[in-house]
Amino acid sequence: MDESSYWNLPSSHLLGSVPAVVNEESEASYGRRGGGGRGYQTLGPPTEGFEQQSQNNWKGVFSISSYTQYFDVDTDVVVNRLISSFYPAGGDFFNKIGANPDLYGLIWITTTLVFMLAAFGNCATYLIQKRTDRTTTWSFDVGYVNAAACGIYGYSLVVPVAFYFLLRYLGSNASLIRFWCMWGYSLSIFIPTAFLLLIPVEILRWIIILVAGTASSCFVTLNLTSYIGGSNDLRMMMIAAFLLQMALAIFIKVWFFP
Amino acid sequence: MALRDWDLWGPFFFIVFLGLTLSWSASVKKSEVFAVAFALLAAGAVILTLNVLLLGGHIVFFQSLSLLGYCLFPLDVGALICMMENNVILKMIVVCVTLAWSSWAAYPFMSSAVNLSRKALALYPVFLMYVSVGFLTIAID
Repeated sequence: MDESSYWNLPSSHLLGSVPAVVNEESEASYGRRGGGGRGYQTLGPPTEGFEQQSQNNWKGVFSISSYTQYFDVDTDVVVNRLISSFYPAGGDFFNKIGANPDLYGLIWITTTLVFMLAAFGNCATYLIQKRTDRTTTWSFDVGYVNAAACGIYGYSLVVPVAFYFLLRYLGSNASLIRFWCMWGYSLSIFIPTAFLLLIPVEILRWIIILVAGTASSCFVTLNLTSYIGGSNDLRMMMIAAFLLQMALAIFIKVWFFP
Repeated sequence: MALRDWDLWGPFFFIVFLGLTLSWSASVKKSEVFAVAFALLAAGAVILTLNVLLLGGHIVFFQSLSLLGYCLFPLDVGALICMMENNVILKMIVVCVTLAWSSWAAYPFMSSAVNLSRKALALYPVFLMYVSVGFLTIAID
């Protein structure tokens, strides 16, 4: 990736923002995003330069236009990425994203998943109670919404940040937006899984969630490996990513579909 | 509807009314139900508007909040009917009809605000919000 070129630039005075180009004299015209530490701009197309502010300040954080670059996708692009996230075998998700990672997938897949878990979790709990005890009546536990929101939003926001900081500390280049994008799309397989987990047969539920968890974890691990260029030190990271995703799958099964 | 004269009293009233109705229908955890419904609708309207703006659409922020709030009116009616009824099938029919009505009301405004190639991306979250409110209405007993 071309991101390695800016390691050579004196950048300590650009606190929180990263110049997105190769040579120093064009730094002023392209370089600093007003978005502070949030918008980690890697190499975007040069035409984005005119949107940026000339000094490093926090004004961009509160303006919508500094975030539209992360939503610059069309319907077919999103659908394409979604479908590719269902097949864990290819390790090429980051190539597919290219220079255009999007946060649309992260936000709306997690939101859909929260809703599905709350809704189908309640239905599934009712169905399996009905099997054992014929007299149970339907009751809607609104606590499922809270648990789903905290769990899913927390996981999908915090885990990529943790990996980003860890990988940066260990020296490899990493892009937070791309990590958020990838982890967001990796959760998409749990949406049909939530629907399938309605089946009130316990063994089948465990099989379904383990298959889905494995697929999702493989997706995350393979893509992470191919992005970082797996060396021995980073193997721990890959295993940790795999285990975290499996832990999320188990959590979903145990909490929402007991 | 005179779209240019937006106001937030209507949406505020509809959201609070929907929260109250759902809360009355609930038999347990009433305050939590109200909190979830209110947060979902209020935050949902803001996030939906931001979604359109981020996708590069052209809408006025408060106009969109106002419209999304007023489009809750059919769901309010549906929630009121469901509060007084207990039959699940009837509730489902009522919610489906009011959901379709709300979506039909919100669709022209939302779809005209964005690029044609991103229309589905802008409309899906609206659909998601209304479906989740509809589900809450059916599910709360």
